[in-house]
Amino acid sequence: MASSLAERRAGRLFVSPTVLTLLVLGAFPLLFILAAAFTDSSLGKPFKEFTGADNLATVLGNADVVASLSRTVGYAVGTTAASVVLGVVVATAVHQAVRSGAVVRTLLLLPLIVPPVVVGTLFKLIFNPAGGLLATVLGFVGIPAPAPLSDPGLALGAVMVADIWEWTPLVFILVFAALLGQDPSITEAARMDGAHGWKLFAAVTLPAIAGTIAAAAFIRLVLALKVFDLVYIMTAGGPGQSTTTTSYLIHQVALKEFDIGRASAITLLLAVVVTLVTLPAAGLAARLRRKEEATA
Amino acid sequence: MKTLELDRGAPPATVAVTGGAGGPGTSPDAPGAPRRRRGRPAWAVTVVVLALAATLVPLAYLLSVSLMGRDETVSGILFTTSPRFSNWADVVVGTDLPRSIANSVVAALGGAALSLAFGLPGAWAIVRYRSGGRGLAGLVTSPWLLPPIVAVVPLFTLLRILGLNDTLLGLTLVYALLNVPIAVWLLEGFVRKLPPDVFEAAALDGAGPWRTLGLVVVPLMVPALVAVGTITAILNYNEFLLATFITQSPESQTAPVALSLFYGDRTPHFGKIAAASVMVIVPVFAVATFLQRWMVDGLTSGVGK
Amino acid sequence: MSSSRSGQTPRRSVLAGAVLASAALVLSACGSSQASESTPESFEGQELSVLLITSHEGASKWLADEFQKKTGAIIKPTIVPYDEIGSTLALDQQSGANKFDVAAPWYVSIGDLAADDSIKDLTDWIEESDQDTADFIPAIYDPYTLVDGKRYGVPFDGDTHVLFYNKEILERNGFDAPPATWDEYVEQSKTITENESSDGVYGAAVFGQKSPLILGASYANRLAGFGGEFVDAEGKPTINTPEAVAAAENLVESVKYAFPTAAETDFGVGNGAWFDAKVGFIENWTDLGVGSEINDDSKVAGKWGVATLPVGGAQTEARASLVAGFTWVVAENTEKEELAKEFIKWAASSEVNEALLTAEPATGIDPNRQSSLESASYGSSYPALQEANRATLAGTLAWPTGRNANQAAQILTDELAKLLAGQGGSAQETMDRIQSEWERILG
Repeated sequence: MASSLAERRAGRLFVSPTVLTLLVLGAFPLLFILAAAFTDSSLGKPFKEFTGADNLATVLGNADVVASLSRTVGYAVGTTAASVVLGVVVATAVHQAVRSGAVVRTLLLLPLIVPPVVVGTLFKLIFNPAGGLLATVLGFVGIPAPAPLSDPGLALGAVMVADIWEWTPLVFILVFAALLGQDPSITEAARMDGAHGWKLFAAVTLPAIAGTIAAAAFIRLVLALKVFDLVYIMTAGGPGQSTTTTSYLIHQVALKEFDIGRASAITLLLAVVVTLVTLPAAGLAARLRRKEEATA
Repeated sequence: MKTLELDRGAPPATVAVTGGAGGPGTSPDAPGAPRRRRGRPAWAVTVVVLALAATLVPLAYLLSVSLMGRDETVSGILFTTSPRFSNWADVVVGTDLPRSIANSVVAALGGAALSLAFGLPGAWAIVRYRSGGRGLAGLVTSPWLLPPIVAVVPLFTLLRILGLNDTLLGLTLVYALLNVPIAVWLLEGFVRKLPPDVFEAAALDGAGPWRTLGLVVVPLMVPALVAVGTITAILNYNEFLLATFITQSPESQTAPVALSLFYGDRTPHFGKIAAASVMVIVPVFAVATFLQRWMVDGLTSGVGK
Repeated sequence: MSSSRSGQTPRRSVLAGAVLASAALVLSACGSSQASESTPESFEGQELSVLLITSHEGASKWLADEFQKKTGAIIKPTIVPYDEIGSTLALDQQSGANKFDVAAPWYVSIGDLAADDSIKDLTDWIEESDQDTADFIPAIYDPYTLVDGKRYGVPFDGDTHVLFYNKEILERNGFDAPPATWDEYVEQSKTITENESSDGVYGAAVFGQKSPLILGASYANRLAGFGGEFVDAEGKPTINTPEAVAAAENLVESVKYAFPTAAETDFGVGNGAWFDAKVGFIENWTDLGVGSEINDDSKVAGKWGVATLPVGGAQTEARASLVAGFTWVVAENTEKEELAKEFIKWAASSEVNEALLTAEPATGIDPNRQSSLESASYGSSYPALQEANRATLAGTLAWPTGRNANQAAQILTDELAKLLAGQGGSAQETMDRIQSEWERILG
């Protein structure tokens, strides 16, 4: 469709707030981070002198920084996998059991609207070895109180539980909406052909909602890769380095050590990792979309 | 009829909210739809019950702790026999909490409304007039990928230039900008599903881009605007990191910031921390319960009705 | 843009400082008594924006009320978490928002704040204004204010740790005196935990959360006791000496028998356990004793004792550890410099410190002055605290405060957290790593 001059002009005007946003929140911080990453920059005095790749070399040579990156990826992949599986299972179950289920769905969405600061507080209370929910319930059956947030082997998993609790409803609602949006005649037709139960789900439903699932996974992945609030409230990155995610580390370096240069260098590394990790999910979503369009 | 549309430009822009239209007249949960007739599979009921338990038990525990005395919170009980509603009163009366909740609501709703106002014309023009080309469509979500921590420093300077440091207006503006990418990205999907004949009719009537946007697009997009607005408002209400640095004084502080200060006490009272948390989530629960129906309708039927 | 601006600022401020200093000299030569007499009225109705940490909220109310009574000026406190005050002030000044006139940050951050031009050099003013600096507890005064020969603040909150013990718990377990050495402390703590942990009572609460003011404090207490130093007189790191390693080893042992769990024990958890009479020992600020008596939640009123921190190794004399401690500073870009200085001079004065020590509700402020420490009011209200606090009069252990001190404290904290979590190898390896990092950034 050919746009008229008036339309092109209006269009430019219409996208200008979006472009402005990209400049203010995308380009401006990116330039700042790039400039800071290659200079000696402190919190109160950025860009003191050009230091080349010194900051990058320092952070790449720091085993704790590198470990935080792989920890963050593991955390993100783990929480995403769990959220997607649980979200799809619960959405399918709700769809099968109660259809639109306004009440059920309202209740299931509640964690989404609890601020992470509260979620962190809540799970800290639950995991508190001295009288928390978990310790008390396990105490009833005679299991000694665990201290998940202080155990180097369990702490990251415990934060993941809180994260999964909070964000799985997002996957749930997106998948649930896709299920409601399915064309009922297609499932009916498949059922006529004798498909039911798992087979019906795998052959008809899953392909129909695969694009939605991939997109939800992408959103979930980005949220998990940036996790900060939960770590800040629940563990302060401990015990040891067990829950020091890269976002938490950046916060610490920038605002507690006053070293904006090093913090920016770590941010660049994280940006590269986020891109590498999310590309497959984004690519998968795009491929599924094309496939759906071809079959539609 | 299309079963599912994920007709998006950029790879990351493939989002579920574009999930297929129910088709004119068929509200997804309309009574009498054929699939209603089947029974409820046992596995599904079990999963729903488990999911509800996993969702609600922690919230119930929070409520329970909010009524406990300070020593009870560490004594290994699940609920107190002598509930202390005084905890609730203590965190509300004479504290900055009520104002911080009001601040949060203002910043969340104001920010969401501005995001929509900025984002809808953008989404409309990107889809309809291909403004900005593939580049813009592809770049739209990129700011969202960057962790926002270091951005605090340039944002602070920006707010200083505007004279809006430590003000609710400044925070609202930051939230508005922060969510424009998300809003554009989500709204794009809805715009694509607008029936083209409506605009051709509008064009035949001689309506220009502005009138088409104002008189045709906006009314058709109301469900989508509510859905996307709800999502962005929730993101705003939950935001913590930027708020801690942008708002410090009680006049502008948001609820998550006020809550985090409860930890600073040398002898924090878990009962009162829980009570404050309850106070912070109750208003959003009330609003969300009301809005979620709109949100789901917006997500599912989009503008297909 | 920003770089050229910050490039110019120092020169300009040096110039401005010189002008101000000479002006001040002229003024003081003309007779300072006249100037100070005219001040009370001139501040009437003026506002002063003061940045404080959460645990100083109570003190801020007292200070605001009293200062307004005295001068008519209105104090507007802004309260932030204790670990955000330095960065909040730096961001405020760097961005040019300049909301704050005065702040009371952790003394360890004054070097970084000074290097970033976030706070004013107060050297000349302190010398010229009559502040009776000789009365500041000497072991506090220099570490809290001095960086590279210049003074950037005046001490506010003394904040040294002492050892509190629950008399009932010790008696139940057969101990009639608190431990004199850190080894005895571990021994007693172990006994209590083994005897009573099934009832939820443990030997000690050990602050172990990964934060310089929390875990860092626990280590500093032991380092002081074993006679170690963070850095030597020339500022060279000495953090892998035998004393420093012994302190780390004792920390590992202490944590083993601590209230569960040390890694999660921040101020709140630890103090809560103490007030609930669930722990035998806690290392804490002296004001915990005030809270133990008057706090509504306290179950230990009248049942506690306080001693100086234990010692270890060759060290035989009690030695105070300046773990926290907060200093009044003036923001670099304030437009209310006179009022700001008037306020901090008053707030750091002997009379105000003495009044804050025993004010109710408790303010959490510890002595910063010899006269307030030895005051009759403090002595009659809290004789045991007064006695324990006298340790600050002798040799004390203080954190390094120069440039990169924040980072140094964070490195120490991170490495100790790894040691406690079993991720850092031996204590010697841990301290060697810290030493080499510190040599790089502090050297």
